[in-house]
Amino acid sequence: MLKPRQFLRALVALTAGVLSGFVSLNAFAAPPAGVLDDTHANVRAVIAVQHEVTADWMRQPEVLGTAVGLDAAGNTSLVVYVDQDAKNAGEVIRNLPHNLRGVNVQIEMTDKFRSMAKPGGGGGTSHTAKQTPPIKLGTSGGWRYDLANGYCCGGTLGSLVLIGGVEHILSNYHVFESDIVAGGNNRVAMTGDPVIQPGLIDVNCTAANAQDVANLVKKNSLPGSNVDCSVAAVTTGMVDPTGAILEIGTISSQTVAASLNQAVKKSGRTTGLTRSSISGLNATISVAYDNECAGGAAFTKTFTGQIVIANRGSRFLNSGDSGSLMVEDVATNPRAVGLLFAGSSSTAIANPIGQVLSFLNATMVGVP
Amino acid sequence: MFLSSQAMAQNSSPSPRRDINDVLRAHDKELLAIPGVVGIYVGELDDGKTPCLKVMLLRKSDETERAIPKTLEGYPVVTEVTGEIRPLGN
Repeated sequence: MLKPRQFLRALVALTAGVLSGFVSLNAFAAPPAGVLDDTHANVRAVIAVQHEVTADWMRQPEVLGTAVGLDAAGNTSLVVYVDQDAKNAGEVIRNLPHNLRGVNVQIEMTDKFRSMAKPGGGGGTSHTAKQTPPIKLGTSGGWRYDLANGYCCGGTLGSLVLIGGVEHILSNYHVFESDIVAGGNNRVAMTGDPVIQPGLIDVNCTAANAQDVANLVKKNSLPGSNVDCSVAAVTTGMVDPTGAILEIGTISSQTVAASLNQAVKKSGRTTGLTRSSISGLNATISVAYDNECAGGAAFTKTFTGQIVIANRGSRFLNSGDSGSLMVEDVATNPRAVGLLFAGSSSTAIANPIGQVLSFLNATMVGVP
Repeated sequence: MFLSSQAMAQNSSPSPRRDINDVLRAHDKELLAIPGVVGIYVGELDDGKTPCLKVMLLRKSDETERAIPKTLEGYPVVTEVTGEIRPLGN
């Protein structure tokens, strides 16, 4: 679910060789008071410093750009992108200040920027466009009525599972069924409600511009269980029966347990196909949930036994990628490792897929 | 039950006696009860081979760091600032 302060994460003033200006999140209403947009004093303070120093700093070829960002503690900061392949990167970083007129300066090592015609960047595959059915997964989607309090919400239709011989789309509880109060839309998520592709956030919050692909089967995985999952029964002909995932293809019907440093990949609505590695196991994590889209606090859940994945700069997983299936990073028919559902700008968290399938009494659709 | 960092430190021993996952399970609740701690997991030190417990912090805080033991039952305990862990719907 979208929290108002998440707007800043999509509101990055990036000044680089190929990009400039603000990138704003697709919202259909003006941000509420307190939102960190370009009218906010803290953001304006960073922009003022950014305008002052960027041209000078970018005379160094090692500096690729600057941006307004948030640090791990949620404070506004000036992000400086430094070419990770540059020989003099270390010296350049040492010469940059940690703070400039009260604005924290964050260094982020990165590849050289390049133009990306469509989200995801992998071969131009869009993870947000409305597909011609049968759709492939790893795409934008969500509960058809996920619109409340001036915002719409969604996530990723991640993968295909079989429950009692019936095909279901697997995603997260908080993507499909976390609207549990009448609240801002006078509605709660119910079994039978349509699940759409793409999600509302990618069709200007207008469900008529999306297509129904499945029907919600509420599982109430939270707050009671240790997994954040939900499923929707596939509408005949609307989802590729092989369970193919965009830019990954078909997967194995087998699963594999996570291991430290294991290479993994995922295909999701926001960041497309991305790769990373497992940095931790058996995590105990507290995660706060809302009671509807941009709603109030519902509960805080403490998960145990979770998988931790490196997520520097949210490059592996970002808002909207929830519901993505994490698989081993092999070229052909990878085995599922986890169901991605939470994270921060440095860390991503996945439920072990074995726990998810056990909870649902399901199996992955894939190659035996 | 919440144990103070002093109490947890007293539980430390020079060498690991049991599986690190059991150690995590034995201490995760009291570590998570420390204000500013958002998670705990089993990871590796920067050498890429020594198992350790990693404590995830909401933000950098000397007070929070002081409340966290340096070792638990012989395993190193290290902190990392992750910020808030939140659901990643949109």
